[in-house]
Amino acid sequence: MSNICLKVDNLSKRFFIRKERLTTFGLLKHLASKGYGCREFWALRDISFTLNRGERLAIIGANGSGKTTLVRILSGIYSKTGGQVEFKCDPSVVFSFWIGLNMNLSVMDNIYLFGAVHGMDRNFLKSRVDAILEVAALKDFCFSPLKFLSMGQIQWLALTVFFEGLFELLIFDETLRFLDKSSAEKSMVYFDKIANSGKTLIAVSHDMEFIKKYCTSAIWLDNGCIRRQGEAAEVVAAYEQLSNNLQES
Amino acid sequence: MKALKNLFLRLHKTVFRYNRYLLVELTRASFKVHDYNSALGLSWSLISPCLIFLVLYIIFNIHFSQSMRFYPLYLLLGVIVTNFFVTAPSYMLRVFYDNREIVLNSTIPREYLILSGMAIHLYKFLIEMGIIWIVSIFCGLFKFSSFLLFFPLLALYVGMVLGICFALASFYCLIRDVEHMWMMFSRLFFFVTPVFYTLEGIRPLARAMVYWLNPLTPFLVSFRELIIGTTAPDMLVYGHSVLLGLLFFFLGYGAFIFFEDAAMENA
Repeated sequence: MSNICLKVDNLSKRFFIRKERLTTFGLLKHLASKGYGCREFWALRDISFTLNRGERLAIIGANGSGKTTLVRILSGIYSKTGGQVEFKCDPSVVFSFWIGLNMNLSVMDNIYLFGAVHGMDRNFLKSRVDAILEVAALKDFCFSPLKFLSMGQIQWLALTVFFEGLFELLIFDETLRFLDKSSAEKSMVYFDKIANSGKTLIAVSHDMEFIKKYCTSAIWLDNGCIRRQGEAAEVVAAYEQLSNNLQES
Repeated sequence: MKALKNLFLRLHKTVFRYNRYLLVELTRASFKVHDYNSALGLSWSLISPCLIFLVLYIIFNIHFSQSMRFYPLYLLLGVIVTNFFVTAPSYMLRVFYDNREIVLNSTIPREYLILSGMAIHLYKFLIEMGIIWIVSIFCGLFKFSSFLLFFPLLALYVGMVLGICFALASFYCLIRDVEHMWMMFSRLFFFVTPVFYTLEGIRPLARAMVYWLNPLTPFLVSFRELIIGTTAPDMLVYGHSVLLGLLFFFLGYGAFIFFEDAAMENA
């Protein structure tokens, strides 16, 4: 069996950005001129890399460098404009922890809903509900609407449900940014498990310590192109050096 | 040909490949949230068609009750069928826009947002149709053959509305005028569909326009023939409805697939 989990070849993504405010007259004018009042914006250009099973890849870069667009294409949310993306295993995606949660539903309902979003059925979750509530420290709130909980509690609940899933390839984008110190420490236990279990991971993060600790390789994106790729520590060091230089200047 | 193949592949994926318990959970959530903090809950959806029915009945009963034995049932069926056609797309056209975060940040199949949102309207519609059937049984109008023909027609009618929802929800992301256009047309549908009048009672040109230009009319005529008709249903009208149901579903779903990328990026 091939060791490759994901192969990306010359991946490109183009968006059309409106040049001016859309008005009826403007729309008609642009339709007539076939220009549609838009300009091209290449969010990604010729991205190529291979991800092996068990590899933990970090995607880093400044805001607007194309990190989120890249993981959205890998997750199937955006379609690509050019190139090839070949998956050998099904990815599981967590971008924003509240996606799939409903603030008006109870904690209990949200466990089933969020679980379903991440591929867990009701029977699978039924046996784990007590443990999830215990870990999330929400046993007394299981029938309260989610909107009465704090952001940190909601995020920790979502992550607790998510950690129950059995994933081969996990893609996540800045998922830990709202956690308090204690929950962040607890979630690190999960990432320790991932690191030791040989699971494959793609992480988008600005937390360089996290990347250095949990990722084996990294890609540094700059204006939609790969600026550097290689071992995580080496790429992060180069990125941090540039950031420091920019701050000093 | 390629577009058609893509459409069927996507449809196959939606029905057989995506995780269906997610659709069940989304539907369950949409039911629970729909009437959150509402004292009358689901009853609101029955109150609206009942009010329309009452007003139309009071106004038009005097004109039609002489010539038509079951005019109240005729009118009620018209109101219910048209109400579903008008209400479901009005709610669904903002579904991608309102769920932008889900659309852009999760792998939840976009079809599921439409299907789970539509489920509540379908549920109400089925209850209303069930009431109509019960009344028709009490009136001695029940025919088993019509009962069997009713279900495929119902499925295709829902398919047509679903196709319209898919198309409108995608178009709305691209251009917001869609909402105003649908609001305008939806008001007209109560008048350009034989809800309170009969096709035979209007001039031939108007009859031809109401029948051929309004996809709702053949369905309504067929539903009436099946549920409250005293003779065998006209199979030409039934066939016309079947074709319209299939056409609108595939055109609407096809438009959704064709415009999906652009629509979601603009949601």
